Amino acid sequence: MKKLVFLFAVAVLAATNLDAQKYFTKEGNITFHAGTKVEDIDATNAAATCIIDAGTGDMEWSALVKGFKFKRALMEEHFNENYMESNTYPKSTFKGKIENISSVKFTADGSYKVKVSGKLTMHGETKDVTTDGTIVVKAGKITADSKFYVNPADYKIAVPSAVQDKISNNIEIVVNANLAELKK
Amino acid sequence: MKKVLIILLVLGLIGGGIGVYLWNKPHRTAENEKPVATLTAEDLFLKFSTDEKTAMTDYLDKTIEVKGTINAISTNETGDTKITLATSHLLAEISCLMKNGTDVSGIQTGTEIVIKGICIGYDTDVQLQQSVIIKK
Repeated sequence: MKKLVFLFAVAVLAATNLDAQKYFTKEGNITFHAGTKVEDIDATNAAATCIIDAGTGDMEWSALVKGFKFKRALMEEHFNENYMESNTYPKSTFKGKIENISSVKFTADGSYKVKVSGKLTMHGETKDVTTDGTIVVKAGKITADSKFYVNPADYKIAVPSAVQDKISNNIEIVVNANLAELKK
Repeated sequence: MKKVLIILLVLGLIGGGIGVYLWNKPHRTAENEKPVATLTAEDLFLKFSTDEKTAMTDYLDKTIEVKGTINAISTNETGDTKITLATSHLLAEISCLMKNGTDVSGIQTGTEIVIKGICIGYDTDVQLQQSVIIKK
């Protein structure tokens, strides 16, 4: 009997593991607001890759720096050449974990608050980032949303004193993505 | 004295003009650039997926011309038209963001196209932006 219970437990565990799906998109959106009261500096990248492992809670994002679109060409040029140095550091990534992944029921429609922590790499520098987010499950698809703040100085992005009043030292980064199950 | 004032005025106007021009400068597009390479979607994908470093040196920030079969035509979150070209990999495509105002009428998925765009790197897709259609 004990053996049977054990076997049953193993079977259940195996089944849960098999169920652990990955969710994926390559059309994730990342928008940042780096301006101050003096000037708006906004840009969006609509081609970020995001992958979430529903079993382990592992979450990865990556985006091409040159893919951030600004309204003004001059700002885009400065962003790439002077601040992000995108020829040297073409990609930004986030590798982390949804800490409370077990509270997200990927099989049941609903909205779940999540805590995410991980490492954000940009401009060649890697820093810890912790943030809150929301995962909405609807008909097998999920939407992931979050917002967090970064200080350019932490990533060794130098802001010349002449424009210091124009560029925030608390840049708001908004991310959202619609993910679908990754078929193996 | 009058001469100096006129010179200062002219210099001021030139400076202001340059400022206004820079502020309203148009985005760089592939339209008037000569491609550094012409290749198929599959070849481009293979170059990036097998040796990203070399491919980046060869193509990053450069204009290239790519020939491939259209997988999808869509409008993305920033309102730009996107044409994706198929590769042999299930998830990977050549993703081409088109220059503002590109006319995509009469273009159909499954047909062949030649697109010229500025390569911005490789993530899941090899991405081109500010692209123009060379041949339908």
